[in-house]
Amino acid sequence: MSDCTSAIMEVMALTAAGFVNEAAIDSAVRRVEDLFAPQVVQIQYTLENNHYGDPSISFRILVSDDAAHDIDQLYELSKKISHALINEAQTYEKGLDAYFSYRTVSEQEKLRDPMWK
Amino acid sequence: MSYSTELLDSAVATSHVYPQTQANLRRAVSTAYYALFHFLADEACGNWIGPEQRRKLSRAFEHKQMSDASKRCAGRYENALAGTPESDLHSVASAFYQLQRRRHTADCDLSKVFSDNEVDLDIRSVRNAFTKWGVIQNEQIAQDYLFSLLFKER
Repeated sequence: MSDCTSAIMEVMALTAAGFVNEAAIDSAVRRVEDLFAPQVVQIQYTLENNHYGDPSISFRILVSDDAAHDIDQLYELSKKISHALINEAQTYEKGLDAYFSYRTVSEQEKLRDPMWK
Repeated sequence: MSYSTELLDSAVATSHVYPQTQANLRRAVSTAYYALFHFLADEACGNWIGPEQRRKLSRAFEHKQMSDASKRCAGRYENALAGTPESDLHSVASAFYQLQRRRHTADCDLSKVFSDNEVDLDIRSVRNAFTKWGVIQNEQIAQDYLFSLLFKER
């Protein structure tokens, strides 16, 4: 594989709809982070194949403790954030199955999960 | 009480077992998924005129087919106006395919860690799906969705 091809592979992933530019996904994710700050502290994602082998993107959304006083509040917020990520990152158009996980800052401090660093 | 409601109650109870463990949280996620799975299968089978065949028919549902159908439905109605049947159906379909993925992770992928809130959100999404379905169950789009859970598009 040439250096050039290798560089391209680093920023793109192949899906049924074609190549996905990770830089564009990064930009979309940062826009959603800004839109929902300070309730949203950080959004991370992983491009992978799901359990059926279909291209997917798994978002990990870290929210402030204030944004999750009760589960109903967190549930309503999570629906808005998921919707924004789907539209901004254009997951359907890119042929990516989008999945979402939400946890609070205090939960992550307790769990010290390296996937959420 | 229906079996799906019993399963949802079981998911809640398991998520609250003290001391809380990853095993209990994973069981709660898996049970919440099956609550929604059996709920939708029962709703679809209820349309079958002969009650003696409904139990057998419920075994014809396949997870992959249901996931694909739910994904298509959720995508179709992603931007539906809140409060419309389309929006309510989106909530049901989206909950199903999200939960199926999480069930697979809960049962098979020990590299992932589950938190209280993640599990509570899963349970909340199933409860919401039950409620929304009650509002839209007689709508044509809801019935079309049930059909798509069992039969492939041709």
